Amino acid sequence: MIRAPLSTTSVLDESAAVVRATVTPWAALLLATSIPYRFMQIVFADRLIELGSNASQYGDLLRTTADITCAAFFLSLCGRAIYARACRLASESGVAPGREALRVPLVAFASYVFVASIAEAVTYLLFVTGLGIAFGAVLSGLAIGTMELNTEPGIRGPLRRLARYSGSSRIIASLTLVFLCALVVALLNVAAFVSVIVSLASTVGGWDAARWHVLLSLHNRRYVLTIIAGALLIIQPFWIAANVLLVRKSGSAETGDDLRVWFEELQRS
Amino acid sequence: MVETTREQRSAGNVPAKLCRSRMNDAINPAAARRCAVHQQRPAFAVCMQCAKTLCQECATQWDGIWYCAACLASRRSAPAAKSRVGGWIAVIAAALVILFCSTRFMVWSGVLLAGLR
Repeated sequence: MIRAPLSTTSVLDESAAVVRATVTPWAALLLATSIPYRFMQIVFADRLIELGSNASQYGDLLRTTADITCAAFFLSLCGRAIYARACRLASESGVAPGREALRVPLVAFASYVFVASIAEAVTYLLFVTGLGIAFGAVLSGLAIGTMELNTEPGIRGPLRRLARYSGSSRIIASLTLVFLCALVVALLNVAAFVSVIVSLASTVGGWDAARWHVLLSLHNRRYVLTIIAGALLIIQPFWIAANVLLVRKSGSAETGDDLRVWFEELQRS
Repeated sequence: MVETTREQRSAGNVPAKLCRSRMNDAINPAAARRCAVHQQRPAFAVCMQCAKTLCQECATQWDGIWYCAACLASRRSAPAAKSRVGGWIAVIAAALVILFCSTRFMVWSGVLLAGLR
């Protein structure tokens, strides 16, 4: 249900409530489907760092890793689509959605895969400039938000919707900034959590933690990459919920889309 | 009524729809002068798909050809179905191409960044 007028704080407030309602099992499903993708990204980054300036001589190895990452990306898109639907259902009913969340319309999913792959391509294309992550995050957020508004297959419709909902650029920019700060906080929390666990294990359990202190230190690049991936996984449900609500709220303000969706739901039931 | 004067016919300015009605007259003179849907109304044109005679209200010209409502609906739904299939093909093909490109961009930007170190 659209409860407050469109603003950054109202989107964040309601997304927290939506995530609370969808945490089991849909957020867990989202995590389970996203872990392979983040893992493959870690593997790719680790190989790149290891190869260094010789990376151009290992094109086949990197391409194979990128292809597997792409397959894992598709799996993560399935999880994201289900979670976005669960968020939408939870925002409308106010309760945890049931198996209905699994029934993502095929047209909506295909359109989402198309737009999300554009976001992915833009991220990697602009990665060197440093703007790639921000652009990719905004595009993928809008893609997941507008997913269920696509009712006809085609390539123009999803892009038109993306352009239309990117109109509330001030709120999108502030949401991106808030989630960037949240990513930093999540990074610190994950790192602190791991170090506390290791310290407790060595103190309480009499466990040989010396080796683990070396492995789980910030000097170990694999550990740092894992921490970044963990932080991304933690904020992902909030990011998806925020974008679903942003699109719903701005759409309801402009066209009454929420009323149409609600009416369709009513007709189906 | 679908009637034209002898002068009009001889002058050759009889509308095509009336000529079609006249052709239908020849096949079934009793029924042809009345609309197939509204029996009390005079015929105005002939549907070029099902050959029914139609009154002014029932006849619709599309792309220069007269059709009844049913035939027009069937003609209009055919391109819609086609565009739906076309939309599916377009969206799947575009997604596959972009996913393929994104893996190449991933390798390209990765190698570029690794080379800068």
